[in-house]
Amino acid sequence: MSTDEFEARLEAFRGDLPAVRPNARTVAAALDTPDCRRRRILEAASVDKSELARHLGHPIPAAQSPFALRRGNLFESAVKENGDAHLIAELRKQIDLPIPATRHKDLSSSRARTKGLKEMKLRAKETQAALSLLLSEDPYAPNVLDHAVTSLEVGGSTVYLEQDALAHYTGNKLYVVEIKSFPVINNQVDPVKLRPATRQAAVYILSLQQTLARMGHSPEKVATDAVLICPRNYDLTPTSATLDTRQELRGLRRQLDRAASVSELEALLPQGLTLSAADTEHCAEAVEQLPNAYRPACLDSGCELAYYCRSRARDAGETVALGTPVRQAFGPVDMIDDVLAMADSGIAPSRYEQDLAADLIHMQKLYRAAGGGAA
Amino acid sequence: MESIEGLSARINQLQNEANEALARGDVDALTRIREHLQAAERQRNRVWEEALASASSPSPPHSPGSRAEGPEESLPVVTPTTARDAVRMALTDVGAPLDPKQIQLWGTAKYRTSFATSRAVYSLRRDEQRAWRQNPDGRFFYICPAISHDTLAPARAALTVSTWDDEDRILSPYTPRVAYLKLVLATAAAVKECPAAGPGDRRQLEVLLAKLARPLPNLPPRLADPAVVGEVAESELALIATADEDIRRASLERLAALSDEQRLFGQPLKVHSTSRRHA
Repeated sequence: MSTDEFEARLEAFRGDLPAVRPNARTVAAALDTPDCRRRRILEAASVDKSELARHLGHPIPAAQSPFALRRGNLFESAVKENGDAHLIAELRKQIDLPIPATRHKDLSSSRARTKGLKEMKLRAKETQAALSLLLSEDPYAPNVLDHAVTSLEVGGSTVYLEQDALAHYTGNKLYVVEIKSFPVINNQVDPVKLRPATRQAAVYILSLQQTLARMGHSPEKVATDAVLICPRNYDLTPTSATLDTRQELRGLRRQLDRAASVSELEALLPQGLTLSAADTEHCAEAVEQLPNAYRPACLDSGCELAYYCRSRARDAGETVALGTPVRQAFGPVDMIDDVLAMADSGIAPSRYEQDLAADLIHMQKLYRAAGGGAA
Repeated sequence: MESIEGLSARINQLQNEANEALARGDVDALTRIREHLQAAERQRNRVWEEALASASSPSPPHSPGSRAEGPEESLPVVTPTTARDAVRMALTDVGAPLDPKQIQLWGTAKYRTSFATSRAVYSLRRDEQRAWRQNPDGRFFYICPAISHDTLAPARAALTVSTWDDEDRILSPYTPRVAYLKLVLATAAAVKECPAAGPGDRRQLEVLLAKLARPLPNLPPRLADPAVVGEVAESELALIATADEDIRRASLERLAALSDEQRLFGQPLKVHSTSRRHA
C-alpha cells in the first residue's frame, strides 16, 4: 500500500471528527509514550483527541487557557511587527547577524489556495525552495524565513511542523528561532517552562536536519543551539537567549528509533473502521479496537485520551490504574483481582512471584491485626 | 438590504451575547458570535458609506483628505471613504509598502484617526479589487497589495497605491526592512517638523518614534531623539537600498507582461499537479 493510500485510509478512519494539525509540542509528547499504538494511529489520522475524549465522556480540562494563547499570539506579533524588527534585533545579538542581512520571506500561508494537509505539503515545498536558495549562498536569498514548514519522519509517516522562524547568514549555520510567551524575570526562566521549550526546539531542529538531509545537504548545517525569544519581565518587550539542545536531540533520536513503523500501524488499523461524531458507542468500539498501553505517564505527556484510558484500565481492574508505585510494587501481576487472590490464598502463580505472595500474606496479616477488613 | 435600525439592533444584541459568552469563558461561542458581529458591522458600515457617498459626491473633497498638507492635495478625492484615504495618505507619506498595523500606527500618531484599523484595511483590500473589476477607471487610485518579486503573487500584508510606479509596488526580500526604516525616518521627520505647541500631536509622534526605534541597533535606551534615530535608520537604509532596488527592478519586465488586473493586484498561484495523478 502506498503512503497516499494509507493517508486516505486514515482520513476515512477519522470520519466526521474535526482534524488538528500536529505541532512540535504534540510530537515531542507523543514520543514519551512510544508503545501506545492507539495514540500513534489517532495522531497519524490527525484526529482531534480532545474532541474525541469529550465524545467518549472523559473530557480533559483545556490544555491551554485562552488568555495564555492570546498572550502568546500577541507576543509573537509584537516580535514580528514592522518587518520582523525585534526578531532581527535579537538575532543580531544572539548569532551576530550582519546589519545588511535582513532579507525576509513570509512562508506563513501558501500563495496557492489550498487547505489542510495539502497546504502544509505545499508550504513544505516552498520552504525547501527557500532553503536551497539560501544554502546556494545566493547573496539575495531571503535569510529570515517566517513560519517555515519542515517535516519530520515518525516511524515512516511524515509530520509537518510550522517553525516560528529560521535564520541564517552566509558562512554560518542555520538557526531555529522559537518565540515563547513565558517571561524572563530578572534573567531567570521558570525551569518547568524551559524544559518543554527546549524539547520543542529539539523537535524543530531535528525536522530541519531531516529536511536538509532529504534535500542532499549535510544536517551539520543546522545549529544545535536554538534562539529563544521571550518577553522580558511583565510587558511584551522581547529578550533572547540561545538554548543548547544537544541532550534533548539525543533523547529524541532514541525515541524516534523506537516509534512504531507505518506498516505496523497499517496492520493494526482494521479495514473499514471509522469514527463518528454522532454515535458515541460506535466511537468507543472503534477506539477499543486500537491497542493501547495506558500508563500513569500518559497523564503527564498531554494525551487527551489519558482520562478515558485510565477509566478503562480501572474498569478492567488493572493495577496500573492505581498509579506507578502500585504497578511497580506488583511487578508482573497486572490485574487487581489476581493481587487480591494472591493475598488471600498465598498461592503464587509462578516461582517468580513467590516473594510477592509472601509479602502480600504478611501485609494481609498486619492489615487484619490493625482491624482492617473486619466488616 | 436590511434597514439601519434593524442592523443597529442586531449589533447591540450580538454585543450582549458576546459579553455573556466572554463571562462564561466560552471561547467557541465567542468566536462564532464575533464572526456574526463583524458581518453585521460590515453591512452597517456599507450602509453608512453609501449614504455618505450619495450625500457628498458633488461637493469638493473634504476631511481627512484636506487635513494633510503636501503632495496628497494634488490627488482629488472622489468617493471619500475615510479608511481608504487614511491608507493612501500613510502610504504616500512613507513612500514604501506598509502593512495594516503600520498604517494604523501612522494614522493614529500623525492624523489622530482611528478608522484605519487593521481590520478595516484588510477588508478594504478585497473591496478595491472588486471595485476595479467593475470599472477600472472608476476611481483615481486603488489600494493594491504589494507584489512579490519572485512569484508576482500578491504579498500577504503589504499595501501600495495603484498610481505608484510598477517598481515601487514590487516587494523584494529587503522591502519589509526598507519600509520599516522609511517609517522610522518619516516619524523622525514628522517629530522634527511638528510644532511643540500642537495639542498632543507631537507627543503621539514621539511615542511612536520611541516604539519604532526600540529594535534599532546602537541606540541608548529610552531615547527618542529624532536626529539620532534618523541617522541610525538612514545609515542602515544606505546599506540595503541599492540591493532592494536592484531586485525590484529585475522583476519589472515580468510584471509588465501580465494583464492589467494582475499587474495591479498580483497573479494568483495555482497548484498544477498532485502526486496522486501521476501514481
